[in-house]
Amino acid sequence: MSSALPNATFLARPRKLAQSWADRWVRPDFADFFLSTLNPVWRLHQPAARIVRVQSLGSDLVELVLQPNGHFVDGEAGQFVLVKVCIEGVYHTRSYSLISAPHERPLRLGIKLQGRVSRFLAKAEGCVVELSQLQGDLVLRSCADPVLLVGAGSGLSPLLALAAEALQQGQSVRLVQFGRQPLHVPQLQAWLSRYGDAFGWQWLDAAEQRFDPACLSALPWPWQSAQTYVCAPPSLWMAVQACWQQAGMESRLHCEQFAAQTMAAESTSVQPVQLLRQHREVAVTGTLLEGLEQAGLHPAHGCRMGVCNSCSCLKRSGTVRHVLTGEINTEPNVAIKLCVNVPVDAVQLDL
Amino acid sequence: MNQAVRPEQLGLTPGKTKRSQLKLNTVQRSRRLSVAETEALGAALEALRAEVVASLGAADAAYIRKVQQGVRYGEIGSRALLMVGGWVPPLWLLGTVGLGLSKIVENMELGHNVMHGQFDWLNDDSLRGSTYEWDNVCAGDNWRHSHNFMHHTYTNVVGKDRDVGYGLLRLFPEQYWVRGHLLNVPKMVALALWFEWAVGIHDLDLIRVLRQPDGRERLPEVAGPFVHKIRRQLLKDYVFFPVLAGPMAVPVLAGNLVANIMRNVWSFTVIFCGHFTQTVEVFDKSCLVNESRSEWYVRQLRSSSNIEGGRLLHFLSGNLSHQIEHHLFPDLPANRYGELAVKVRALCEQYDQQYSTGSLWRQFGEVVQRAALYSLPNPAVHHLQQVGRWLKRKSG
Repeated sequence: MSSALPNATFLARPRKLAQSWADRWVRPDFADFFLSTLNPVWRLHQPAARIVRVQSLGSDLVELVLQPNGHFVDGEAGQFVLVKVCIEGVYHTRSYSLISAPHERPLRLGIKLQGRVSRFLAKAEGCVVELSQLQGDLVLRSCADPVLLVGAGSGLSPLLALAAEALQQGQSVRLVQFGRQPLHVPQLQAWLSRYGDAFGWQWLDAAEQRFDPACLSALPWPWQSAQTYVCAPPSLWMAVQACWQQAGMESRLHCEQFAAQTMAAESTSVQPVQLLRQHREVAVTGTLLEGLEQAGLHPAHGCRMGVCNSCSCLKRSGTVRHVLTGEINTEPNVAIKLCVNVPVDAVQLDL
Repeated sequence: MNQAVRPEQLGLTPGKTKRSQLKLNTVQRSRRLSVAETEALGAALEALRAEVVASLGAADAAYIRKVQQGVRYGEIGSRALLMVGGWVPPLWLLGTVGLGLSKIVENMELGHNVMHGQFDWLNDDSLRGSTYEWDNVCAGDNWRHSHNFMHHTYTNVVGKDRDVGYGLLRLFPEQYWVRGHLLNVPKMVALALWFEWAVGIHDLDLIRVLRQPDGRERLPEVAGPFVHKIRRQLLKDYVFFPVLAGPMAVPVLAGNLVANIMRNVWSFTVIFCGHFTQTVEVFDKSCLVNESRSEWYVRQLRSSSNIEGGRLLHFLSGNLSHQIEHHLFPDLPANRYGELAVKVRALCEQYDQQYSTGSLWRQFGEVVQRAALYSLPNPAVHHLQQVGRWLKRKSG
């Protein structure tokens, strides 16, 4: 059992008072340090969770079972969460989809073992991690249309959550997986036997075919009347998008892409930079600072030579190259200096 | 390249600027390097930097976290001691010294280094350079501007680096003398005791702001963060903790005051030893025009001086005893300066550049000497120096 502070309602008002006083007068990291010495998942505002169990789902997929503190708010099926974990002193952030139903505790996340962070988490039972709230737009639209889900690899995790939610609501669900081998077979078979005609699924062998109108029309279901949800790597997403565009059905197509590692070769051409807080996009050539200034913005800066750290800001995603050292940085949620970094592909800044 | 500065901004005529540092009276102890040599030295320093960056890892992360935990528990323990045994003199002394040391380490080894962005690579929100707030009356944003940007970019350039003398003291013959400078030494004592206030007000550049036509209207905006920080610090040390202590209010208040003064005096001593000993150089504004990165490295080298000592001195000074290494690599974790010092010193020998260093007493003695000597106008200084040389000849 873990929560932010004891959750009893008679403590709600003093707890709120204590929190607002602490917000004003105590440094947030000191408050979290103090609370975490009492209980490792207790924080002032930050959702955190203990990794209770790690289960293998076959091939390179793993299910992470987390018991969150009281700050974690329910979301909707299909959303993802940012997990921040400390590996050898450095914090890394990755996004993982929620497999469990939104109200279910403990949480279950679907992880594909493909890098340093995922492999660390797969062995990190008992570890405490920080979470963001649930986010993402791949949620069920409220209408009676049948649901079609198209996905591949780790993209199947949010789709399974959507399927579970839709089936529970009594909607008709069809799932198409694209890949080298069928995944999550036991779960899908269980749904088949439980929901009968309301559920159907198919595996398309990526080695033998591409996703095109021909294979789409070969599906035994009326996909034109369905709301389609896609979570897949860029190649598959573009193929699906092309098919739907051809049929003029784009409004029924919904997609989620994780910060995609694009295959763009390193180039000095114009790159799009998204400024998340200002909700605008700027085309940048040269360093990020120069590009933003050319677009009429005035980001904080100082020495303009990479020394004073005045221009440091958070890169949410994307790839940048350091003009002095040549270092390429692809990590999400890291601080970079705008004056000495050039975008190599689409970059998102917390600015 | 120092692209931020154009000749017109410094009141110089573009195309007619002579890159002359020899006009100034400062003694030149480093050999003037050719362009090729400067670039070679710059490249060697860049290579050193790259070596350290590539090797940053768990050990450095563990070190700064240990410092952070030490500061937290040290502060909690010292404040608790004052609150429990404040009226017992030995306990009060222990608590006060403990609190003073905790503030010193928090300001110098933790706060100053974190705010330089030295540990941004940890992605730890509590150690992020752009948002860290330290236990000091000076607001973090003001410090980041006046120190990280202004001081480290325009180091020892008279007229641009306002750290030279802190707007109060005259320490170099190149600074314009006014009658107020006769009080250099008493001013220095006051500055040392209340150093955090000088540091806090420093970035506001109030004299310049008030001289402007809309100065008075802009004052709330300019001074806002500082006033906000003053309120927090005063309430914390002189209201909240004394009130919380109940019957121990007076010893707690006295202890907090003395601990703050301890921190002020120590940080003043270390910081002033960094750029105001006898062997450092100051520079003319013209050196900033089209200054290459290598030339910036050489200016940092020539304007800084180290303090020699053991590990405790290095730790308590926040590794500012390695001032030269800090000015060459302000964004590298300070715990690495010790190992870098050996290599930087070797490079200085190779290129005939001075590597200014000495014991704390010697370095600070030189700073006091400067303050005393340059409290007089230059003609008087010349006379005194002539008399001094005559006396030396007589005796030796």
